[in-house]
Amino acid sequence: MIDLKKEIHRLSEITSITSHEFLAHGYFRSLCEGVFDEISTDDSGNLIAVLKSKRKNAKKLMIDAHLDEIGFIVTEITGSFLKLRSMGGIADAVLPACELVVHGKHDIPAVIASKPPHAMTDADREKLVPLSEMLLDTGYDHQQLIQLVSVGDTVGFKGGAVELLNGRLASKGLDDRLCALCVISAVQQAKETASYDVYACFSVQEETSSLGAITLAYSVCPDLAVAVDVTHAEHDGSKSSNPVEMSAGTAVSVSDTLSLSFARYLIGLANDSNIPLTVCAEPSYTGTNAHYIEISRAGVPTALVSLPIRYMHTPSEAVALSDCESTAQLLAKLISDGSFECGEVEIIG
Amino acid sequence: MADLALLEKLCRAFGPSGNEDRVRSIIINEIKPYCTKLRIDRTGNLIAFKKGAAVPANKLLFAAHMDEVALMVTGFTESGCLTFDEVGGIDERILPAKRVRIGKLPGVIASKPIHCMTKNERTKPMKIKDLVIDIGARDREDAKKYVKIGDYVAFEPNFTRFGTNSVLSKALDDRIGCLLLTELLKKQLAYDITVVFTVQEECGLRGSATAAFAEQPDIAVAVDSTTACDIEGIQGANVICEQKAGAVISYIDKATVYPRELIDVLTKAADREKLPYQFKRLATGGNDSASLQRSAKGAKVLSMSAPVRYIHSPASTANTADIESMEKMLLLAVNEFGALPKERQ
Repeated sequence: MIDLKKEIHRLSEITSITSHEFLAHGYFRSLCEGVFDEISTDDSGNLIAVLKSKRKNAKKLMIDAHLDEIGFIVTEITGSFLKLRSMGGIADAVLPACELVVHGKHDIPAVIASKPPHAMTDADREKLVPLSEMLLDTGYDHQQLIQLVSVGDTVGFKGGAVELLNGRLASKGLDDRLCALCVISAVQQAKETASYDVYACFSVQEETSSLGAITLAYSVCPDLAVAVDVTHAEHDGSKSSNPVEMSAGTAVSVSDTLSLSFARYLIGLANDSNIPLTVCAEPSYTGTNAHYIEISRAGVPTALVSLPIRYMHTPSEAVALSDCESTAQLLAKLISDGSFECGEVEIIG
Repeated sequence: MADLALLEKLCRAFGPSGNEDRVRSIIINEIKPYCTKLRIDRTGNLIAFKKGAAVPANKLLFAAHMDEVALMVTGFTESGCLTFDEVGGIDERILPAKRVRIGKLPGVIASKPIHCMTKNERTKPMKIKDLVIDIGARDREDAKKYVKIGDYVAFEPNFTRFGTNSVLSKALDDRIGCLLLTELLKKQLAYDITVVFTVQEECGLRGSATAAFAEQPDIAVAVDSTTACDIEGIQGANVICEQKAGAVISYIDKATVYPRELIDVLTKAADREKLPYQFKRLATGGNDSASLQRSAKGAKVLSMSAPVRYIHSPASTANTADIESMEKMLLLAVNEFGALPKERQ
């Protein structure tokens, strides 16, 4: 079985910024080997791992978790500094004096330059420097820099996970790669009892366009689907409109944009199996791949299962291991149970 | 070559102002075999005396501070997070989402996710009073089992060699000075010197005041770090000083006006030896020189600093070329200042 804590430490050192998910394929592929029956990639760059059910005519269950993490791309080399734009939403507030890694010819440690207070006017002090005006310091001069870095190279947060109290950890890039680990863990648990052919879809470019999930939902053509993504766990000053408590289990979203019956089924499944769960109300838009999978082809009943994390899209996303375990347990239960009725209902033949 | 392994050890050590014990232990281990006398004073300063080949006409003292800027726990929130305030001057805009250690206990400075920020919040810096540290505690009572009000919080230990000759850490200010004076004590010297590794510099140049009172030097040199702002878009005096341009010598800063004589003697010798140095271009900051200058009968002071970018942040940087030229500059200072005649007998 996957040791989630150990894998979070390993994952923290792996980069897979949007459009560069292939850099994590080797890692995830090796975890999938021996668990799934088939592993492949497609033209979008998605990684797909399939577990065949022992049942005849089993329905297809798609479980999506995106492999891309937020990060940056080099837009300009100016003197001995780099300029960046973000891939995915990153708050300017976390960037001053933040350590990054430029994935150039080799991995180059770097730090976001911050103007010291003396060089600022009072007006400067009241506003954040936007990313477009920030500089990345690599310690190289211009001539060396142009040998090592090109415009278009990706830049990510420095790796390294830290263990907090009560089985909680903080790391960069938990969104959503930790959910991919939960999916693999779930399939491990339900491997012998799967009621569905399980398509574990490790998708690309969720943070920018959900491209991977859109093409995957088409090509896999599932009977039902679950997107597994992170959601905001409550913390001091978080003020999320739909907060979920940390260390209180996994979460299932109820949304007008998703299948209500599927969400209710999953909530019932968790309750019957004593899997800790919070129901999360997300009207209008969930901001996840579930939004797109639900309306793929002629429609796919889709649910959103979420892992609560704090400080999303920062270098220090925090998570509770027990919530990862609950998430994997609920997915394992879903894979084994197979009692959810999906499919078209013919009224008059 | 600068001993970067020792610099790393010094930089990673936990040493907020008033809590310098661990840094002091590392230095004691290093310098013990090389000192004629060594003591810890009542304030916590580490004071070393080393015999040289000759007794100088003026008593020479060199100082570097052991403490680093940090944070301190001021309270608990209902949800088990810690409120905090600064120890020494920190630019609060660099705090969100940074990793910290409360002693050995890891924590993360909470940062509201971008998805939950209003448009206004996305463009405004966070204030220290609105920030909290998350240690993973379940609630207030749980947090109290691990942390007390008044506990020190330092940035996560880090040390990265990067670029051509650069190093990055939370505590280059002033472990560079600690390294340089440790190395100086290991050398054969032309004159007797006293070296003080001071406490509480960042919170008001306090340790150096008591050490200077006890030691009564005639000439005192503060070896410290200062803000280098040689980044794109900053011009003129606002640059303050540049990396790879040698030791930064100050005529004036916010705490001290420096006597011209020592500057002239040292820079003339540096020109002769072709050692790089630069003058600080803006009267910002201050260091132990101020206390050394006004303790007891007073002393002539000189400030020699390493140009450090992003100072007082968890990721300040220095160039090893500057550290190496400062190492030579310090030897020069011993020789030149040691040879100066006694004034006004």
